[in-house]
Amino acid sequence: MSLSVIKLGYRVLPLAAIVSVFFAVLLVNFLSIPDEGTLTDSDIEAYLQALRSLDLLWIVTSKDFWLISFSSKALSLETLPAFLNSYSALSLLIFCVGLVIYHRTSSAIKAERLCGYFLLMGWMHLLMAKGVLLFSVPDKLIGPVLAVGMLSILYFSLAGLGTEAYRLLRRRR
Amino acid sequence: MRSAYALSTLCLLAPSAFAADPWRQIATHATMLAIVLSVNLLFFFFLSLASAVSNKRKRSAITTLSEEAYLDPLTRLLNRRGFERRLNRQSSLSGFLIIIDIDDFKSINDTYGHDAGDRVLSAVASRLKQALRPEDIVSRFGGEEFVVFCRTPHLEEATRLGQRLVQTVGEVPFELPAQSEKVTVTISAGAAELTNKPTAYLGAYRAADSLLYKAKSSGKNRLVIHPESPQE
Repeated sequence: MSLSVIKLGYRVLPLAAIVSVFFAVLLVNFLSIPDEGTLTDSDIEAYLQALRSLDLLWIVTSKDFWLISFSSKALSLETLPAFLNSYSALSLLIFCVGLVIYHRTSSAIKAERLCGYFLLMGWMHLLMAKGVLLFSVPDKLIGPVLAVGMLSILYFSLAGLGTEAYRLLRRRR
Repeated sequence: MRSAYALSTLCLLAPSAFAADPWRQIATHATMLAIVLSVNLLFFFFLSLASAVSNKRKRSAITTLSEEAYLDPLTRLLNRRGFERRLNRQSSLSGFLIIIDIDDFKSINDTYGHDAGDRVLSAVASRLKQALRPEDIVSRFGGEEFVVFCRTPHLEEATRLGQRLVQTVGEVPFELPAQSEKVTVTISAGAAELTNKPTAYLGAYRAADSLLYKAKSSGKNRLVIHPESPQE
C-alpha cells in the first residue's frame, strides 16, 4: 500500500510543480502592478494588511487578484523584471550545489525524489517569508521578502519540472 | 496618496526598497541572505537527519541478517560458522569438544516423516541447551549432528557433562505430532580434548568424530571420551 502511495506521489509531484509555477506567476503579476487605481473590489488598507501578513487565502479569494493577474498589463513584458530575483537564484544555486555534494559524499539521492525536494524548498521559502513577516518588519522590507518567497516557488518549481522532464526523456530513450 | 505610497513600497518592483539609505539597503540584503541561507540550512539539516535515521535502520537490519547467518533456522542454535566464530573469540580454548549424533535418525524420518524428524531435532536441541552450563557452546553442524564446546580442562567434569547430555536426551520419550505413542530418541557422543594450540581444533574435531563412531559401533546411547573407554 505504501509503495502505491509513493508511486502516486511521484505522479502528483509534476502536477504540483505546474500548479506552483502557475500560482507564483499569478501572484507576481498581481504584486508587480503598484497602482491603487487597479484595485476595484478591495479596500486598499485591507489589501496592504493582507500583503503585510502574507494572507494568501485573502489574496486568492479576492476578486482583484484574478482581475489584475490576468490584466493586459500583467501579461505584458512590463512585469518581466519582477520575475528576476538574485536571492532566489542564489538560493537555487546553493541548493543544487548542496544536493550534489550531499549525493556524492553522504548518501545517494534518488532521482524520483528530486522534484519533491525542489517543491518543498520553494514553498519553504514562502513559509520563511511568512515567518519573517510575522515580526513587524519595516514596510520597505516587505516587498523584497515577498519577492524572495514568491520567486523561489517559481524558480524551484521550474527546476523540479526540469528534473521531471529530464527523467521522462531518459526513460523514453 | 499615502496608500499609493505604501502600495509602491510593498510591491515587487519597488526600487525604493533598495534605493533608500545605506543602512536600510544593508538590512534588506541581510534579511534576504538570512532567509535564503536558513532555508537551505534547514533543508539539509532535515535531509541529514532523515538519512541518519534511515542508515541506522539499515545497519540494524544488516546486523540482524548477519546474526541470522550464524544461526541454524530450525533449532535456533549456532550453525557451524557461528560455532567456529564464537570459538575463535574465546580467550582460552582449553576444554573438550563433544560431537553428538542422534541414533537411528534416518529411521525416525522414514517412519514418522520429515516433520516429525524436524520436531525431534528441535526437541533434542532444546534438551541439550538445558543440560549445558551457560559457559558451554552448543551448535548444530548439520543433519543430526550437534557439536558442544565444554569449557573445562578436567576430564571428569567433561565426562559428567557428556553423560548428562546422553541421559537428558534419552530418559524421557519424545511426543510427536499426530502420533499416539511417544518415541524414545537416544544420542551417541564422542569427546576429545581441545587445547590452545593453533591446529588443535581440527585435531580435536577429528578425534571426537572417530570416538563418536566408536560409541556408535559399541552400542549407541553412550559417550566415548578420550582417553577413557566407552561409558554407558
